[in-house]
Amino acid sequence: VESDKGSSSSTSRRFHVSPLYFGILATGTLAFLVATPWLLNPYWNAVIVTIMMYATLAEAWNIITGFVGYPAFGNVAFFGVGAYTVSVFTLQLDWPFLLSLLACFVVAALLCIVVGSPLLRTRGHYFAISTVALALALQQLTYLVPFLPTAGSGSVVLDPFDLPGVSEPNAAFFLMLFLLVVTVCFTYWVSKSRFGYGLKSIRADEHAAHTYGIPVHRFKISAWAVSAGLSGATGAVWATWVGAIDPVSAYDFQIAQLFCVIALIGGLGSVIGPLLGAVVIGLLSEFMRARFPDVHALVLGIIIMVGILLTPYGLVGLTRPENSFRARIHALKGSAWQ
Amino acid sequence: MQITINIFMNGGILGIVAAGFSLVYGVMNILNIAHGSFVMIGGFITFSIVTTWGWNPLFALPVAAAALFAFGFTFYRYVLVLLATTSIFMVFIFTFGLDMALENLGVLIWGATSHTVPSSFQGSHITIGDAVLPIGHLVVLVASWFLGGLLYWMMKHTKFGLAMQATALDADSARLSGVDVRFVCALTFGLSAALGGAAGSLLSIVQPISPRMGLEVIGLAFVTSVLGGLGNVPGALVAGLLLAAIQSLTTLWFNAQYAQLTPFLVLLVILVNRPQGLFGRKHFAEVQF
Repeated sequence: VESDKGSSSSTSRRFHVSPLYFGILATGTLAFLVATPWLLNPYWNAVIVTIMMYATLAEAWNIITGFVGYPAFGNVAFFGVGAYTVSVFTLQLDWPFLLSLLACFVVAALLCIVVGSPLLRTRGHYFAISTVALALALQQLTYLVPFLPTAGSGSVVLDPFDLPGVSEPNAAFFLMLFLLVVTVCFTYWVSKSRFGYGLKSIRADEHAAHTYGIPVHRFKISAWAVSAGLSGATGAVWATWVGAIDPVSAYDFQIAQLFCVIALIGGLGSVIGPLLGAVVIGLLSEFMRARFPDVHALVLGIIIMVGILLTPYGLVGLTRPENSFRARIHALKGSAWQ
Repeated sequence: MQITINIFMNGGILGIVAAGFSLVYGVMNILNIAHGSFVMIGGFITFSIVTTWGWNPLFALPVAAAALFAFGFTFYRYVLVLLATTSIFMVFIFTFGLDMALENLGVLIWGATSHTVPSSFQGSHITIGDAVLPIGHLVVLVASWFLGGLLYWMMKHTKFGLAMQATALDADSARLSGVDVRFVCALTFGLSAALGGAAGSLLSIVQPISPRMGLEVIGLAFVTSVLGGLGNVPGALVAGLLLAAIQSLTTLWFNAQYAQLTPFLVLLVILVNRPQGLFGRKHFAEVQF
């Protein structure tokens, strides 16, 4: 989708898709996804569930990081909280799964409101570090919480999904798809609403936004709470899907960083960016894992580095001529050390 | 008493790991996630030298530091310099990519299991009252304080140290005053990597090392450098001891599981109430995308 052809490169034209094409594309993708469980084998089903999970997490992360400009690198905290909350609700309180899912959303969002309020007083790198610290603290706390089924080791074995009329692998698929659609719709609404413009003005200049009468703190905390709630619900579906969790896998730092990478490679602050990133990085990661089992992290790491060198504004940024590959390579040559 | 000594000894290493991490943040505004992997590689270079040629690990330390200095300098010189104008969070994720690659490289070369460096310090110890003070820990503590002191002296009294401080305060003014900012940045990155390598070398003397230890190390480096104030090198050295003291006291009063938790709770409290660290000047990174 490169659009710099000589004279047009001086005008900064934004890539624009007409609503009709967008509608057709979205409907087509959705139709494909709904039919997937019957079209593809279990391996590819699992890959697509994973990609949808990363897309949801990246999109939820995008709300707080892309729109508000607060880099919550430790959002995996809420993913882990969701995973453990669902175990408490389904195993110990015997709630049906869908109700537990809702409860996970609420618990993660409430936790975010309680713990997040003081954290949102920090900014920039400090905020980034404090969210990572939150994730690490919650991970360690999991070992110490007495009411979990197996206190001490912290690992829990969960019951399978109990959705009426849907079998096990398809249940994970449709729940993940549901969460993805909800998250994307919410982010789309954010990008168009007064709320979203308020968030973007906070990103641009928080003091100015405050002066203009935007309830800065309330906006920040609501955006983050929804982001946390969606991450928590994703964690709940993931936990039930994989069947057994422990603090190391539920607060996995690799997962945490991977969805940030996905959102950044795709393009922050746009609705489509994290989805694009999830498909590209998800397929790439899966391909590497299958093709080069020993060195897939090495290759993926190098791809992340090269990707950031070539597309510092994400894949979505490529649609602007001043960020195209050719312009970027030119800029890189300029900043190289001669 | 015994636990206190054992963990307190690690404070020195923690201090120089955090000092290296803090240095790069202070001068270049880069949060280097790969610093933990630098520590890991330093440890494994020591391991390879000791097992191949039977050297004393302390003699392997300069080799590890030099190797990582060369890597850090070259990496900044040819790669990171290209990212000078990119948003700080892209650079953050970039170092995460580097970390992934280095960790995988470590697993490829040395295997995924943990290794213990055989050394002459093992088994020998001094007894004070009823407490046993292993020689290895003592050597490590002295060596890390020596390195910390060397770094402090260099920052205060050499031309390079002053140029580094000038760059940290205001890169543009430093450039106007005739400082070759890019060269200073490359040297700083190399120096930070060298400190990481040296820390890894020392760490390998007192505890088993594994290619996957980078993450654990970087978690503690985060806490230590924030406690001392991000970018504040002497602060980081003191905070290393402070954090180790906090951890050992928690172990003593509660249990080892709580000692894993307290650093992060301390970090959260410090960040919210005193983001410039215990000893730091006020300094905020602005968010830019």
